[in-house]
Amino acid sequence: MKKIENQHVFLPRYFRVIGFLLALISVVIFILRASEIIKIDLDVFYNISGSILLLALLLIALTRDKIEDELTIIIRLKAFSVAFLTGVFLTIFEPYMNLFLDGKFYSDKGPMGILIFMFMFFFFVKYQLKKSR
Amino acid sequence: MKKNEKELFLLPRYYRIVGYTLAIITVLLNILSSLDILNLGGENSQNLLSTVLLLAFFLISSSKGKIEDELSLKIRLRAYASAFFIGVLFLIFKTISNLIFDKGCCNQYEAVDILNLMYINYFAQVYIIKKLYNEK
Repeated sequence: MKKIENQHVFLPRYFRVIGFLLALISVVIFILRASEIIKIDLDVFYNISGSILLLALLLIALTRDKIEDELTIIIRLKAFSVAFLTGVFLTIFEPYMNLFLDGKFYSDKGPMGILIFMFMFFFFVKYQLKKSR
Repeated sequence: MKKNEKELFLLPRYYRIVGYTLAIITVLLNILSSLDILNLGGENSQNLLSTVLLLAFFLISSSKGKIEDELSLKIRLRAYASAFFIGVLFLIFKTISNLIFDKGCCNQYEAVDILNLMYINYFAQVYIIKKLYNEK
């Protein structure tokens, strides 16, 4: 039982640097597209920069912290759960709000938008939980 | 850690029945619609069905189990985290494969589809982890 409980996979700390570099690349691509220095199709641009940003956030979220013990693992898992449930909540209620406001049942957030939102919420909750422990 | 930080907000047990009922109704409507027995109309109704299925999954996963202790909380948290990773990895690989093989064709998934997939992963993870614990 102990063995199962302790199976947590974390990446070495240098993956955080790689994550930040990837996030920076994604932002640079965004700026280049917005300033029309590179002219790529909007869908292709959205897919490329979104995937790079998601990968960057995943690497940062999975990187080992300076101090890693049972408490920080619980905090991390709880932050993931809260972020997941918030994303679900937003996805469920956003179309109803649009139906109420615009008269059409639609969601303007794509899957990448919602996952990036969930990651941002994860970092926020993790920070808050660490601060309040 | 404070006591409330060790807990996750859970709904009463009867919400699970509500969730199962909603899921069954949604699946039945989908089947009837795909067999052309029932005409549900346009894209809006498909979106509505997917959202109701997501709501059903949310109710099932967020309601209390028979036994709620520290172990079940850990299983729940781990399953959520795993489902999150699998959803993210699936979307990244799907997007990359679309870019390479379909020459930049846009993503055909909606956010609700990815979240439904993540929930299916969640239920599978809970089942597998519980089974592993029982074997031990």
